[in-house]
Amino acid sequence: MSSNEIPPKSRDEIKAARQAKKAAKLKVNNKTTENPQLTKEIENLNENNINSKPKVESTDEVDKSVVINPNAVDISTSREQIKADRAAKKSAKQLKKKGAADGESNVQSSVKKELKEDDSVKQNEDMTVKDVVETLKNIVSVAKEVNEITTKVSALDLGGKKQEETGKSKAELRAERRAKQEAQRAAKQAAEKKVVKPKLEAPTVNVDVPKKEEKVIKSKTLEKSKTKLQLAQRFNWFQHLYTEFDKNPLKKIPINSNLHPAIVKLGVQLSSRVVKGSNARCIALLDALNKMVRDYVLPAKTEFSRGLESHLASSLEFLWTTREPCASQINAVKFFRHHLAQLPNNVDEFDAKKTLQEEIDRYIREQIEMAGEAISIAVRNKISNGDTILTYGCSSLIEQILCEAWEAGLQFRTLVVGSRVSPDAAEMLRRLCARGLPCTYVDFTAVNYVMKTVSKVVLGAGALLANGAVVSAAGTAGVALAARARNRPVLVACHTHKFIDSLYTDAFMHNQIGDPDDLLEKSDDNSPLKDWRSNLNLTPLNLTYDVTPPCLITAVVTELAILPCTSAPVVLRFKLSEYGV
Amino acid sequence: MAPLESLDIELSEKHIETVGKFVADIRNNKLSGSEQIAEATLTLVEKIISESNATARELCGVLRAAARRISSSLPLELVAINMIRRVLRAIRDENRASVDQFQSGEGVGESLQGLVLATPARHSIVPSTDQDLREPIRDHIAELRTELETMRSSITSQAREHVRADEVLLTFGASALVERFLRPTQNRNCKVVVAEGTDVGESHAMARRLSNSGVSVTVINSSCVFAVMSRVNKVVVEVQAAMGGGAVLGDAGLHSVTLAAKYYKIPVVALAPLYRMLPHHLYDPQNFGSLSSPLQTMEYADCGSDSLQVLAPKFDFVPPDHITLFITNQGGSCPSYIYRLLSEIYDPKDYQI
Repeated sequence: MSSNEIPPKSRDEIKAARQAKKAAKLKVNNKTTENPQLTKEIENLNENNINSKPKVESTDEVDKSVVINPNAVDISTSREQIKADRAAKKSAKQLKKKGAADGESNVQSSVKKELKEDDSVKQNEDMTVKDVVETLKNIVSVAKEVNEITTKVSALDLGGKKQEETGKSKAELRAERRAKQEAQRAAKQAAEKKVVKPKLEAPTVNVDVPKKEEKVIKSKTLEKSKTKLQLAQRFNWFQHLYTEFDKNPLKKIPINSNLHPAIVKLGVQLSSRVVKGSNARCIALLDALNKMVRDYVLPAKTEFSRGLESHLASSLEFLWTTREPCASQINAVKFFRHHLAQLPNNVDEFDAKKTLQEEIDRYIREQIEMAGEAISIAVRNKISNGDTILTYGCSSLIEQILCEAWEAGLQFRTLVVGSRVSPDAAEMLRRLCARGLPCTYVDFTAVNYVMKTVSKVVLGAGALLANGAVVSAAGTAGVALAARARNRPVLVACHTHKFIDSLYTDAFMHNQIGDPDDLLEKSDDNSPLKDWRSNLNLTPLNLTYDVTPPCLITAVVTELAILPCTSAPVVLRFKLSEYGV
Repeated sequence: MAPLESLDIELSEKHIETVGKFVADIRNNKLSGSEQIAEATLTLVEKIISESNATARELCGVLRAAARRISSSLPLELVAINMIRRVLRAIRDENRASVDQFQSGEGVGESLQGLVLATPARHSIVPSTDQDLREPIRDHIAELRTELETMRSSITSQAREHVRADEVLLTFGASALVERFLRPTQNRNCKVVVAEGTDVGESHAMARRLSNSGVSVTVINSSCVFAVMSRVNKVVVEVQAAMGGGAVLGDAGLHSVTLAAKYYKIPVVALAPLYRMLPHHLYDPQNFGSLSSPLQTMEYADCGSDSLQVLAPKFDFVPPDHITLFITNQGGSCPSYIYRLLSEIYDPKDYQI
């Protein structure tokens, strides 16, 4: 049934087939008028068929081509057609088996499965109306005709569809597979409701599903190993950072996991960068944990802290696959685990949830909100009238500081520096302008040009390391360096909940690769880089973070005090003794 | 015979028209690229000379007036003025030679002591001869033309001395010269990092052409330069102008690249063809105060407020201590030696046009 051989006349054949079917219909109708009781039953049946039809339709086009064509005839005809269809499908199956040697076995097998299930569903109906079918034995000859033609039609359609199939992208195929799985599940449920032949059906479905999954997994691993190989050729220095940038995070989400919806939602938001910025990510995580704790149902014979701990572990495992955790998130989780471990063994479930939720609220209030206010006041005291404050990128804390200082009556100008690649600075600018602050925007390339007019540089931070280095949006280090070259003071505003006990010496030890396509010019559809994926020599690299060495930073403003950044270990030790985290 | 300096000749109508056409060509982008402009300048100078009086005094006066006119209408066009300076130098040398024929002055520079103590002949006032200098000047212009033609190859041929196998080279912005400089390194298995400058599209196009020629290229945004710099072995950039003290005028953003290189003690190689040598001593980018359209920095629709100001400078000023080495078509030289190079190719009297 190679589709290439099909000449244009195939349409005529289809037409002929339809006409034949119509003829069959007419004949059946003629017969049925003779027997009014029978017509009623048949109508009922047809309704059943209509009800079951949407389920079939929800599957992919391949199935439609085989299944729905005959079905469309079914709706207005009798048992006879059903029988004919089944025969047609069987012959189609056989044909497929012959052609199964080629590489499309995956698609075909799924089609087969679909057919089997359809059969099984219909078998149920058959059982109830066997007698009806028997009364119509005299139309068998017509049915045979129809049978022949439908096989032809289905074979033709399938051939055409298959060609399309090969042209489809992986994503589409994957989506189709999922649709199929869902359809199978629906079919299974429908089958189970009708308790006619549950035992026979169940194994056929169960056997099929794992087979298919195996195939999917196989193809996936193949793809992965292929891209890995390419990456090995391409990324030599930052290979360890590279994970295939996935634009569609929804694919990763397990459908039947017991993850809390809030966690799944956060995962999507993190990977699509809807929630970004280390404060926002921390608050969103704590909020999701709060909801998770609230809705957590303790399994029987389990200690609360242990049960929740294992649940937390699986949730976090999922979250960290969507995006690497930042320092504030790591600290928040550490804090949560600390309080979870401190719960007494025989604690009441309700009390435990209440304590944890209170602790989470307290953490957000004390460590983020109140600390932010304290930092804002500390920085405000350092701003004087007539200053020009330079800031880089977008930081919620810097925004808060500048807006509060402006509302306190200080007269200063804000100079926002941004890079072309990230939209953060534009966002910051929008927020500041909305509050009426006088702003200037320059690209990163103009930093040296404007630095002469700047009186202070205030920067946000993603994390502060134990050696005093600041991990922040890529470009921060360049700004700090330019400021140091002109002897302008560089203040880094940073909550102490972002202090972390790790040591990086350069931006390559720990970083994240952003979407390489962001580097391409958006206005230019014919960007010279657009085919970088096929050109192994060409690599757009979009680093998310960089590490500013401590010698470029004048001071770190925290809620505790304004410190030299080499005092980071002191703060870490203090927090350990004070809060236990 | 009147001395050569203190001469201010106004251009004749005919010359004003020729110069005006030259300026218009540059403004309308009919002449783009410094090489083309340098060539066109030589053609212009040839034309002016052939239509002027033949004495050195006259020639110098006319050329200086033309240069003044060009620089007042195109203050950022440095190449044309530099080429005129070089022709002026040739005229003055020819004049001196012809004067020396009549009154053989004492030889300078025979001993080291003489070199130090003697007042250079060039600095003394030399009278103008009445000889026709047009023919020898045409020879000089032809020489300059050949120099322009071989400029690229003489600079790129030095790449072998400066680029070793398995090195990671970083370059900033788009430059045809840098592209040529990096291309022969393909057989040495070099890796190139292209940091995009303000001309993003051209930087990307350069990266693509380099990658097609077999060099492994990584493209980064200029904000990532500091993060990447620790892995880089050498920074190679083309400059807009190399100035007297060894300072450099480059595309906007060059300063942050060289600053990062200086922080990590990475050598910076600046490619500077001779026509880019500028006999000025600037110390601040604001002196050059040239802003380009802010459109490339931010779309108009994104400016949410009327209190917003968007700046997009064209040039960046890099102090001499950021540059390790200049590569000109006469070979390499360090920043502290640029002044000497300048006095070799220009006459000090023409530093100020």
